Amino acid sequence: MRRAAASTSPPDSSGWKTAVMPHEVSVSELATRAMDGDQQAWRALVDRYHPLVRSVVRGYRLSAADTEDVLQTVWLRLVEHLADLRDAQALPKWLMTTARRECLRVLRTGSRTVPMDPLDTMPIPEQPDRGQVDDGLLAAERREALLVAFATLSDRHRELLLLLAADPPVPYAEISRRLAIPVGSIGPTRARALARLRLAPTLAGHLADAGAPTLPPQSPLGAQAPSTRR
Amino acid sequence: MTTTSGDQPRHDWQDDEVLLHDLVAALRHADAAGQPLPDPRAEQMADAAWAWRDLDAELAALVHDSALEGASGMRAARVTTRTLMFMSGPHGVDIEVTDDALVGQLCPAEVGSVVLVTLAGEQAPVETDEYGSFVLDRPAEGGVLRLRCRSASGVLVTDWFVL
Repeated sequence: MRRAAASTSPPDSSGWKTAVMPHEVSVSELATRAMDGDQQAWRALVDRYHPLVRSVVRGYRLSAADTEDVLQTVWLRLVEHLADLRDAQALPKWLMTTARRECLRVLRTGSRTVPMDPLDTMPIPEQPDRGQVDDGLLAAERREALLVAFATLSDRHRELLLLLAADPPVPYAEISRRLAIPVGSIGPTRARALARLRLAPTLAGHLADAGAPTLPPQSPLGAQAPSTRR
Repeated sequence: MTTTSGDQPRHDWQDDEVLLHDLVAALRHADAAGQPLPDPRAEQMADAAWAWRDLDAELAALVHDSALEGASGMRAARVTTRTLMFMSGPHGVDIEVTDDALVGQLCPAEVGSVVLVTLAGEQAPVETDEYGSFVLDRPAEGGVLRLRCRSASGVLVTDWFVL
């Protein structure tokens, strides 16, 4: 997935960081660059370890708000403690320890316990390739294309689609609150996000295969909305 | 997700329902395979952390948090007042968290001012008394916060923490 992301033309600034900072750069070099003030290196470092931290946190089944606080706390602390980590090998352990302690803190100070992280509540489908069993390679290629295209979306569009993908479904009122948009504009925003997805270079071939026009009618609306959160 | 429920798979990605269905399937497949999904929050969190770096102040690390103390279990920690201690060499801050306030003291005791910082911004500074004690209003909304303390010894910031 990452290799494919790096080999396609780099998306705009809201795209995938690995496209800018290849995976071959060592962790210690990223850390050194970040300490020297290289924000791209810092982003790449977070990008590389965010899944690890998230996997630790998801084990504690925290609420969405608590999960977000824990994740944010970990990165806020790390950026100022990079200099203390003499050895890049110590980084994963530092991250895991910090995340675990924060999760314990949440549990002990008492808080909401409803798991609401859309990424964490997705069930594992029994047959993700339903209907495509005869064509595993093509199916994998199509999934890859979708994931790479997804990564080029703006934060808002990605977050909306992830929320819509959550199972059990996230109520529109909750989506409205999290994205700070009216309930009535969720549908139109969804349409714009999907229109944007179709414009991703990796989907072009697949759309052409389907014999459909490359530009959807919504494309004028596909202009990326500025991310206004935080 | 009923659009592909038939035997015949549909790949018409011009159809919003089909496209969303296939995207969700791809995301779940990646998740099940242990592939890291792009997390929309990662970049904004990285950028927030970057923007809030305090390069000039002395960083006081969290060295004690009563919420994490004691194997005796969660109940004991929950009923007592939470205390936090941040240290950087000889300098530090102690904080006690009450229902509506953060009661703290600079260590060693000295006169100064303390600012509560959240990701939404900084609040108005509060002066300490002659013993370095201060009281800050507990922020109504949750979230991550830190204290920045200014005294004759210099500027000290605590690690970020959550109440």
